[in-house]
Amino acid sequence: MNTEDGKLKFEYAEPEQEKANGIKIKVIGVGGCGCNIINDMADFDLKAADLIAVNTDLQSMKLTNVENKIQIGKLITRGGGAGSNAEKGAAAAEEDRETLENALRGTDMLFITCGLGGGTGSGAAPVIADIARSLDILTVAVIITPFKVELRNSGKKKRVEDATAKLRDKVHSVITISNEKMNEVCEKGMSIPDAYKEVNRALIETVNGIVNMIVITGMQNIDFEDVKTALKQKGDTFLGIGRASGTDRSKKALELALNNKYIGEMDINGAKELLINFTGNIGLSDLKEIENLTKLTGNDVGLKYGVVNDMSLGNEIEVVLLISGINNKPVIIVNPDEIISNREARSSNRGSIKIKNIMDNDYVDAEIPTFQRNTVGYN
Amino acid sequence: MQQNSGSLIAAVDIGTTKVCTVIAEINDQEINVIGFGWQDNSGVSKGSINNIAETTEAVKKSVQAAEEMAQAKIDMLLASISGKHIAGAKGRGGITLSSQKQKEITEEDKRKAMEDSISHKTSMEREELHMVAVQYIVDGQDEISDPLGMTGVKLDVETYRITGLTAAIDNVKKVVERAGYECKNIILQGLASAHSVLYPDEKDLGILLIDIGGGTTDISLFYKKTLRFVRVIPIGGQFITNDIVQGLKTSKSIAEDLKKKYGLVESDSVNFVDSFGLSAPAPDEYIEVPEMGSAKIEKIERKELIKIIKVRVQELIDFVQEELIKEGIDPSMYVGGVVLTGGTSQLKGIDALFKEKMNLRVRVGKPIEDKIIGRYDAVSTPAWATVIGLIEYYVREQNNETELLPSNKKKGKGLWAWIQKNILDKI
Repeated sequence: MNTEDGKLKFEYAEPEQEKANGIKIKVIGVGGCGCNIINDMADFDLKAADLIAVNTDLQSMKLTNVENKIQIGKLITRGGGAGSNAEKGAAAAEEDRETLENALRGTDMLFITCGLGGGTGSGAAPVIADIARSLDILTVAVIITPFKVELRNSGKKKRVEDATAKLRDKVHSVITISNEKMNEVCEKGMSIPDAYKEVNRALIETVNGIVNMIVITGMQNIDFEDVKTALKQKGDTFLGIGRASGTDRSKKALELALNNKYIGEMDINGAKELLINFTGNIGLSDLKEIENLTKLTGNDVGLKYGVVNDMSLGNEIEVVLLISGINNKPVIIVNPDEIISNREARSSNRGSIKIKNIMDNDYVDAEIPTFQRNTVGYN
Repeated sequence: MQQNSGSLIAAVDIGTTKVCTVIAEINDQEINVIGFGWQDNSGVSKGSINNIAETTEAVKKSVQAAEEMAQAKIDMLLASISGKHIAGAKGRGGITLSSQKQKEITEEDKRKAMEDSISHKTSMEREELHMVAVQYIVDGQDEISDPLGMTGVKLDVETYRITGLTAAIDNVKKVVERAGYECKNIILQGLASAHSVLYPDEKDLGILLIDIGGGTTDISLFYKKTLRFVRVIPIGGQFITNDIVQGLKTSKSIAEDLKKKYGLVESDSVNFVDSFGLSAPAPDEYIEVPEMGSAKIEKIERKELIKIIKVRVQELIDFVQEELIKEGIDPSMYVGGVVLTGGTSQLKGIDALFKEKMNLRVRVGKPIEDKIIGRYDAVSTPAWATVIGLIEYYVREQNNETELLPSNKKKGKGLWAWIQKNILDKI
């Protein structure tokens, strides 16, 4: 990278050094929020992956302390922001498609991270996802969604929804972290920058968890192919990390991992793939907890576990959990028309959302008379 | 009579509203009902026992009534279980058969393959209730219902395994034992009912049995003769009664009476109005409802009562459909339609609403008469489906064994048994 006339120019750093196991992993942060994350990641010292910052805004790019920076849409934004215009963000990425393509070529696994709701992240991230797809890269989008209050703005809401849908269409897995969860997770007295850092930390741990699963070779190993299989499953993906020590440490760690507050609660029953990585001085009793986990997912889950013996952790263990193919129940199609009409019939049932709530809540509310629950759709 | 004395078997259905008992004499596969008992119970909530002392007392009374009628003493009971803790899971297992050529598959091989399908051991808090083989696969050839005597290299099996909470299962055992009887076997309520109300053809074609009891609705799906899915929804007829209590501000017993006397499930179907001779919807009809804790009687439009019931049943049907969708069950697996049973299936018009909402053939199932002699009249309603089913389940399970209690009573064989023995078994 060098600067001429105050303009940033991206030059590809070569030769690319190969990362552990020959698997090349990259994390690309898109837009203001994405670049902030990349910055934090650099501080976090995520060794196994290359970091790339992508933005339209020259000023904010200058503050980014990673080596690989790509300024996009120089013509269309003239070094400014995308002004909450996703189309502008997308056009900016299209303008520099070739540069992006070159930056991504040869990557085995890519994380695209951004905040949705603005212009650059919402617009450019799907384009980058499209490029990754054309290069046949295993891609995971880790996205941060705005506060609920912000979503009252219909334009913003639409940008978030559109971008999420586009990303889902193009990448193998989408992991969503909601700013809204900040309220639940962070202490009330925490300053705003600290709270944002906290969310970023959650995201970084998520990425780091997957990366470590791939690059660290354990005695019982989960490798890139396993992660690939898992992430290629249709449906939602859950990732959690937990650390614990003392008695019942594996149980506690798993519970913590399952309680990834940023992702929120997910019904993992019926999930397709389950990867668990244990790090620490792992004993047989630690592995017993896997059994309890499969009770939650059901026995049909594709289970793979890894063990990394790391004596430096002392009595502590770390558990990384990757569950995919969630809520992807198999449907045997006999007559497609019939199923569609059934679905239509069901979606027209206005009471069905409430019903689902009660069902998922283990029928706790069912004791309240139906007529008092005001369930619409019944007469 | 000759010395072909039958065996006595007794079963108890421990439900949310009632405990009912049947004592029957078994001759071949014929069930001769010689005694029955019915006792109200409030020690069970949503299918699970929550008051052992109360339920024990109800079991005692119910069985004693049956014993008195049968003029016989029994010491073993079959019991039913339900509750939302019940879970079913699919499994797949297999074994490699002995490398010797032409070795035939034995019962032992079948058992081993089934055991292999339990991929993770049941935890301490859960216990297996039933396990069925959905299909066997011998060297890739599938849809084999019984591979006994076949030859092959690899035997695979697809299973469906039902478990329940150990604590809940133990409670059933405890109640039966404390009442003074040995608990012979515990059978899932929905599965038991299936044995008494479903026809073999229905099970083959694919049928959904919906057993609506007081506190639970037990769904079981049969397809190609085997059980494919079970689910217990913790909602039943008691909920309707409760809704009436709250809606009309009256006592539970009056609400129950109103439900039985004036209650009906309204649907758009015209036929049902005719068949029940009811003027539904009933615009001008008023019913008298005594207010709770006073002598005051209030006049309430019957429409109001009907509406309270209807929305609850509508919602229950939606729950059933959602549960099926959630499990990914294709409608082609129950083209035979729906059979409703259990006490709440006696609610007038409930079948018509099921039919309207699910767009399937729906019938209300009561214990099938063919196999029952003796006091069939007393047990010929859907409320007895489970307890009769318990006995049928046991009879079929024990078909070739003589583990049953020898009875002192002597009884002739019915025509059905004769047909069964001399004709059907020879086909």
